[in-house]
Amino acid sequence: MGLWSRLQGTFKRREVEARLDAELQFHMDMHTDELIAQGHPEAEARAMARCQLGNAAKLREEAREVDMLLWIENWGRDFKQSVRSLRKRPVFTLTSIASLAVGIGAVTSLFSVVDAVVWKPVALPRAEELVFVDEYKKGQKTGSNGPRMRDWQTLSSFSSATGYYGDSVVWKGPNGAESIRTVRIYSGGTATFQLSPIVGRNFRADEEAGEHAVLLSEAFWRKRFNADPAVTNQTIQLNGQPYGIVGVLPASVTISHEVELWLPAERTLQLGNRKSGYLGVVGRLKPGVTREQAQAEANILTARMQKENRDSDEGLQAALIGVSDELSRDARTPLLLLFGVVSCVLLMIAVNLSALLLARAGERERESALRTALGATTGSLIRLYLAETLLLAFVGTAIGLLLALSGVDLLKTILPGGIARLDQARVDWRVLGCGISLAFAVSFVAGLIPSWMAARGTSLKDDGRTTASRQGMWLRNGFVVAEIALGLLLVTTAVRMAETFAEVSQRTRALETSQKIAVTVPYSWTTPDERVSAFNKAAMERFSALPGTTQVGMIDRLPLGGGTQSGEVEISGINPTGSMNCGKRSASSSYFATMGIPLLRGRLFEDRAKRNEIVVNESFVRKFLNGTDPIGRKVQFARNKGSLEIVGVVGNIRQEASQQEANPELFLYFEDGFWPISNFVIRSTTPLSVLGPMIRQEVGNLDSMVVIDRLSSLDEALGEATSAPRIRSYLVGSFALLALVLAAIGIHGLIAADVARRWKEFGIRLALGGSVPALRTMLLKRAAWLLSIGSVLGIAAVVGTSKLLESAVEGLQPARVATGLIVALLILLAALAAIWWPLRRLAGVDPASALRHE
Amino acid sequence: MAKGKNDLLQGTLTLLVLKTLCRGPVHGYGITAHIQRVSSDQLRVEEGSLYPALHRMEQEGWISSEWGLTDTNRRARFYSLTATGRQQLEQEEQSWARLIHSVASVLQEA
Repeated sequence: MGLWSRLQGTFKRREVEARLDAELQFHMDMHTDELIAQGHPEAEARAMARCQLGNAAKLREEAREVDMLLWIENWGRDFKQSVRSLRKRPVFTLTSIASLAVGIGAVTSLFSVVDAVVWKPVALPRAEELVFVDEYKKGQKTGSNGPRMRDWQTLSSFSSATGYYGDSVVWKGPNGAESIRTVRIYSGGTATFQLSPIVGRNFRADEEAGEHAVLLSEAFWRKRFNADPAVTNQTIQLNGQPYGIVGVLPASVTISHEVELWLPAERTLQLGNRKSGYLGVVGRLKPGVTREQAQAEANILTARMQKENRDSDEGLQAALIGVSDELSRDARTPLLLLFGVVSCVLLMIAVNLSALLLARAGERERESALRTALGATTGSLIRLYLAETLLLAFVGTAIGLLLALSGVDLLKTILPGGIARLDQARVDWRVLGCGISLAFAVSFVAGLIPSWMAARGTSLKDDGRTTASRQGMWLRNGFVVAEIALGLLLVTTAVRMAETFAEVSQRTRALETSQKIAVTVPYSWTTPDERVSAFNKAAMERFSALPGTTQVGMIDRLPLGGGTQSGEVEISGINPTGSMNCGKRSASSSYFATMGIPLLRGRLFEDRAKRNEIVVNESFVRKFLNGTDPIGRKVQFARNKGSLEIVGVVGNIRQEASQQEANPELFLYFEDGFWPISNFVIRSTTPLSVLGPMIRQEVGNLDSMVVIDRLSSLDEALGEATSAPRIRSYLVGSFALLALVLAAIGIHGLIAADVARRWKEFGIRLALGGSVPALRTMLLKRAAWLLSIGSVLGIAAVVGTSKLLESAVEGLQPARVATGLIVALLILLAALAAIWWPLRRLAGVDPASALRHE
Repeated sequence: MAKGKNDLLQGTLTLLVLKTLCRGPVHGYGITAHIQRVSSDQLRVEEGSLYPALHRMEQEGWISSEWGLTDTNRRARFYSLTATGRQQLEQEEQSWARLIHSVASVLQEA
């Protein structure tokens, strides 16, 4: 009978019954007519006909039974039975549901993040056509500039190209001055990014060339202008200048969620110096042009640029990178790592569920035999046991998906900041569908084998010492081995991540951050050098006068925060060997003492402009000077005119948290090395809560156009640098812990089931003179074997995935033998704990009762 | 009404219904009447078995049904044979013939 018509039968039940009633009525009428024709009086005929027809209700019932979904009814019965049997085993039920729920919840929420961050294209129209033109000089990535951008715009592979740079501006809003992140674009910007305002219009060509016009992001418009549609008639004050609002860009268009305004590049930076590097270049490929074709054209152009602009473009290379690739590159590896870890956990959940069900299958052999003897087929038994699994899957998945909803929010708060498009991660129907199908696939696979094993008929006479259970034993052994191997892999990975994190935090701790406050002040790119210098000097003076303040230092970029200005150095008397790339920091001489960075040789530079004195770090000396005396050497940085003199050497501080070793760096007085960010470090005994408002007050008094971007303890400022490895190690660590618990539960279930199954055998052994300790040794021996095999496989997996991990996690600590041993011990302990209870039960084996055990 | 001796042998109902429908669409009552008439009242079809059987046969796809009007203008459900039903009839006729033959042989032998 077709499944479809049966299903239809269920759904059209009422219709079917009505039809049957009509038919029976007709039948009765016809019969009555005939009886009347035969001479019976009408009333009698009617009664006879009804009597002949019998009980209409029973008839209906019988007719219905045919199409009424024996099938669904059977499942319904199976489910009812499952609920009953699951309720009788709360530990098994709760364990299975909890492990499924946690696994599905974790995978689904992570999937939604990976989906938004890694897989969804950038939120720009036809982003697949957009490429970054990344410039390199002697292998080092550099920024572009106005003149070179104009060269890139001539590429025939591009329908249009533009330059852009990030800029922060000061906005005079109703709540006072605020620092706002913006992106500045050049001519061709609206065409290249294909901006399509939801209110107002795009920049005109003349505006793109440097007019004071602004496009608002939808978020800014909604938050600051209450989504006022008449916003285009207004002007806003940016950096003290009026900017006319021309339109609002939809939220779906963004290159970074931090960008609140889109502005044309400032006039002074429209052309710029060919030697400078402050721009990113983006091109839009013409339809049908591949990135490879564009790259080939770019290569020809770079060759010409090198020839024509020897002093600025020597060694120039360009790499065309898809914008979507670029924007998700940084986030991809940690996310994929998490994904791998979660998949491992999911696999363990499947194995575990399978193991738990298998244990149940073992207990059920007699039940199955009884059912078979009473007429159940293998198919119906599989259906019964699968129903149980599916019920578990259903409840587990439902809870898991609920967890996923809050899991996404949790991930958004704990993942390191600055991941593009993270805010767009949400559990949508695709994610849900994925989670549900994953859950059911896992449960089905996990449930199928045990159901089959359970259903495979043992006869009532058998006690499970058949070949079938021998296969079951293999499977159980395999499960134990898999649990141990996976657990080992996960825990080792987690320990390595934790070690990496510990190492990174060690680096920050070496900095002595207590009682220090960090103040970050960004300036607009076009702020005159003199104004920045004047502010820096005045601010340091004012901060020093604040109560409790002992030291104040200033530098362009704080350590460990990443980012650097760098260039090639030439050192007098030294023949360059390899790359001479060196970081450049502009600072005050007081910075070193304030941060606790030691002066190792010579003296610090003087806090006076145009002295051209620098100090270098230890790495500089070791890498460039082979440890020879650096004091008095002349250095030329990035081919700039005038040579700098090394006057001192300071200790190493790493610029990026993930680095194993500090880059060579040189430090010069801030007036000689303009960079539009100042970080002040204030050492003070006054708490931040008291000092903070005072600092804000001072800054406001000094320059109304300067806005503080961050005011926090130095600990917190540097903590941001360590947040990524910290979070990663927490996440992986919690998954590893979960894995450990899962493994213990799984192994416990398997061994316990084994003991239960062999109860009778143990009875025989004891009756024939065996002892309980001997039985324990026998079981322990087997467990030891499985543990060893699992450990070997696990170690193999650790070694196998090591390369992959190291490429995924920057600065990952190498796997240590000691770590491996500790982890193995941990797993061993978990496994021992898992088999402890089953082994204890052995003491209770009474040969007489065990032999009769059923 | 008590069950008579002439209750149908189990499994033959399908065959008889299929055979009856061979001549064209008939309604349920018509089927019982036909079988009764042709067998000279020797075979009686229980309504309690007929309608479930018709239903099952329809689900199997051997017969199809639709509402129609009788000579006396009564609304009735008419059943007719499908192509699969025709094949089924052929098979059942053959196996019935085999059964009769075998039973007869046994009876003659004894």
